[in-house]
Amino acid sequence: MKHVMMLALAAAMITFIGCEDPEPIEGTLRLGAKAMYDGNSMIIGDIYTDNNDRPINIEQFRTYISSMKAVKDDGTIVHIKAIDQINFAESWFFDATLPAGDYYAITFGIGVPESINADQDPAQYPNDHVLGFTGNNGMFWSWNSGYIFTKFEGKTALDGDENSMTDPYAFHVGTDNFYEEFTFNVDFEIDEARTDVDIIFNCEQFLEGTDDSIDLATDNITHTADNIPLAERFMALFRDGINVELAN
Amino acid sequence: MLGLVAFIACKEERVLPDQNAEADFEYIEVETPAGFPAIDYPMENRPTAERIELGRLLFHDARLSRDNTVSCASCHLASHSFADNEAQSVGVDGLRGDRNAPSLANVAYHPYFFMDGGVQTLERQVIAPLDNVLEMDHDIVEVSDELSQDEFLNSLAKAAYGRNLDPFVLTRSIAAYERTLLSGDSPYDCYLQGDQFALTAEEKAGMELFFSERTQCGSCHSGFLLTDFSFNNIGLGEEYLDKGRRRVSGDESDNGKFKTPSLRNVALTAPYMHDGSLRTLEEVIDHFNSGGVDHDLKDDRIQQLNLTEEEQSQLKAFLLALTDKSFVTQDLPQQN
Ligand code: HEC
Ligand code: HEC
Repeated sequence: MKHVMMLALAAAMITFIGCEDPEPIEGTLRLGAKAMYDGNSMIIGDIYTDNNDRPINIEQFRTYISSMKAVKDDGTIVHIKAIDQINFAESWFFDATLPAGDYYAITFGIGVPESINADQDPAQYPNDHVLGFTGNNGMFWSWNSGYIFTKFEGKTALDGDENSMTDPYAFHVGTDNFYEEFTFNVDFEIDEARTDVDIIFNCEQFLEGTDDSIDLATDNITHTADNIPLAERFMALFRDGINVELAN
Repeated sequence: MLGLVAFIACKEERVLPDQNAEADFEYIEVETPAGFPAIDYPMENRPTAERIELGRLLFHDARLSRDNTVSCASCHLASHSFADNEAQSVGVDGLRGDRNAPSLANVAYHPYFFMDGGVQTLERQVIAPLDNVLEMDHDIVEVSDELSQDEFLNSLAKAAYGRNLDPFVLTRSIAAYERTLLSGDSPYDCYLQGDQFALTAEEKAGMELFFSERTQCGSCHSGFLLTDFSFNNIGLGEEYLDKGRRRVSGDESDNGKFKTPSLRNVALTAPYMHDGSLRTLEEVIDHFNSGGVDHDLKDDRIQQLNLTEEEQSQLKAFLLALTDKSFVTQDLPQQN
């Protein structure tokens, strides 16, 4: 009974404050994204060692992230941002103003949700919008329906010689079937101080996981439709390579 | 709880820009050929005279290509029912793509675009040739910026869509123009409208063969456009270099399946098939008569037909009677 009263009171307060003057009950969540390789920050173009002991670099790693939300301990879901594109050649974060309180999870989609993917077109957005012509940065398939959700590409040296990185690999994954939403448990509190939460992408795990291993000598290219099995394998590993953690 | 919802709601971002600023346009009725159904226009791109005129100019404007040499009309020529006579059309730098340019007659009715069905709207389709390195190899944002400097085109853009010439205007107006490319005035149509004498005896015999159980041509080439838009492998080879529908579906069982094309004005669009590999209608009829090459995925309806010489001529005569002469002689702007 006491709980119900409190809730009613809280609801009344929030209604009263409305959109105009929310300041006493808000705080900032800085949602960031980081790419790592073997525990260090992944730097575009640097040479790492892949799962088959061959040199590997990553020339381009981009992904659409969408439907970002935070979940409060009481189950309320709070919207953070509808869609963005992360280019791992640059740092990426988004500052969202959220209602104060305790939270236990972050949810987001990797890719572009079906409702704004296949039947839409970039001309409907301002050019620099992440789904627009300039803003999509090559993440749109003009001959096919929809956006490329994730691009992970670079070079390796199949002969092991890191002075001649000439063997390309490219994983381009998209189409509605590959859109996926994730929920990660992460306890954090929103109050006056900014709270930083990071989505970590562990790149070495994209080729090697507990159940599968991709050998770039044989499996090195998919544009999804031309090699669905490889797109599926890549996404299964990619999924396991993501985690979310409190940064401060 | 209600309060909280309201609170969150005011933080929602708008993903799509407002498209409701359309109120003042003067929509027109585009006449459709007798016997054709009404066209289902997208709400945001119903036809107006300005939209169609702008699209017509842009369709014929070579500034859409990187080196100002290729317009849409270079490969989609009015005289050829908006197709061409090349096996593979020539784009910028004289490069050739790998498919045969199809006729754009009646694209207003197509449920999807391209031979593999990867694109769902005519508006979206415009983007593909523009950024294809083998066709126009240009950037749609740059093209639009450049063309918006053309005072006349830009004033037309404002009248047509209430905004400067941008990618939205470019793709919408070209699609609006393409939806006016309606062709339904062939001898076959006159016959369907009740003119018994519109077809010769030979053409009629060909029509009967075409729609017969024996040839089954009309089971795929059905309806007022002579296509049901299904994807079929018709046994053109043991191996298909071009995987067709599989390219977008990823499904092995779609290997070598291509959209069944409309046969309207087919006499004007040689060579034939997705790769332009059959040069004449005789070769096409030969192909169907022989039952094609064995392929696991070849459609069951493609079987040896044992047509006599006379029957083959009759079929050909019918295909020729699908030509709408008035469509290819309409008044068109000069290409620049
Ligand atoms: C270099 C030659 C070339 C140019 C330039 C070109 N096209 Fe095409 N067009 C083709 C070919 C080839 C196809 C078939 C491609 C396929 O189905 O995969 C095609 C297909 C199409 C289709 C699909 C038709 C259908 O039945 O599915 C449309 C619509 C179209 N083009 C419109 C345009 C427009 C609009 C432009 C200018 C912006 C243009 N084309 C420029 C060669 C060209
Ligand atoms: C199983 C469905 C099917 C049947 C039956 C069929 N066709 Fe087709 N037809 C197609 C498809 C699919 C294509 C395009 C194939 C490609 O591009 O690879 C085609 C292409 C053609 C073309 C070439 C059109 C162009 O623009 O390139 C002609 C002409 C044609 N068919 C006539 C006929 C005739 C005549 C018959 C009967 C003898 C027939 N078809 C039976 C599916 C069919």
